Amino acid sequence: MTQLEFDHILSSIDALSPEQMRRLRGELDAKLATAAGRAGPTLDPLDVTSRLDALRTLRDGWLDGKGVAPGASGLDWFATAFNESYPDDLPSPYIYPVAEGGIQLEWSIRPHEISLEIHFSDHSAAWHSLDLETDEEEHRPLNLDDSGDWNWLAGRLRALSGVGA
Amino acid sequence: MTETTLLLRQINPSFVQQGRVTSQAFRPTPKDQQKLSVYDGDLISAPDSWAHFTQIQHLQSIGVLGVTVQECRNEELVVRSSPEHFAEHAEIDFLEFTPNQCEKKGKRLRSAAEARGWLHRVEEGV
Repeated sequence: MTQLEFDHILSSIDALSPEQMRRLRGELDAKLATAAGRAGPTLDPLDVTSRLDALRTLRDGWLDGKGVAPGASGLDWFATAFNESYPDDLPSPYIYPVAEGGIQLEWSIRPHEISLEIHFSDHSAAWHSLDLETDEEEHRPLNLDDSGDWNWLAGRLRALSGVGA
Repeated sequence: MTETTLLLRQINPSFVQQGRVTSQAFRPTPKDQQKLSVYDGDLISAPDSWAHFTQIQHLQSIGVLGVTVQECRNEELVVRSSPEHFAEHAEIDFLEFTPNQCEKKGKRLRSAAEARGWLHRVEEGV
């Protein structure tokens, strides 16, 4: 395909409805997955960089007209911090937007349900884990500018998931 | 409404990643005034509730999950009909609880809904 033809496709995207954009993305993801399958290892379905990029497309009002979109600078900061500090051998988190404008990471490590709400404003985070069988809970505030708190996070996930145990 | 009544919860597309739903979908956000809106499953089916939510209320939903009245009571949550919004509307009341308590209850309700599976599903979201 020529660059001109490609540019023409890009210029058409703005005319699509949100529904059509989602369908187009699904089609492209499927094509990419097929191409990646031919070329080598497939992308982690929970790839954090890809997920954060997807969250960049949210706009204010995303939650029933009232959700605040995650800020670009906050997403940039978190992407860098996560890639620098989160060990590769630990399970990738699920990542969701938060109504007030941040993001929340979650892990389901049976029987534990874990969440880490990230606050872009001061780089803090709120850890909560719940054992669904015993009802035991753990709350802890974290400072994600502190490597010691990243180490604590990794240690807890390692202990709960049995990685490296 | 009985203890086995299913309470139908509409799921925002951004609250789903790779088929997994966030626990935020089962606790109120600031806009909800500590009350989680659901449809009374005795009065409307999951597909019809989705149609009402998306086509009448013009809000976004990727599908419908459900918890029972009893599962809410297990978490000490009061469920009540609130037909002042529309006939099938009900609400799960989190008013008595702190944010930490709401988070725990949301995780338990999410787990119950996940175990039950999608009652109606459309497509993956952002």
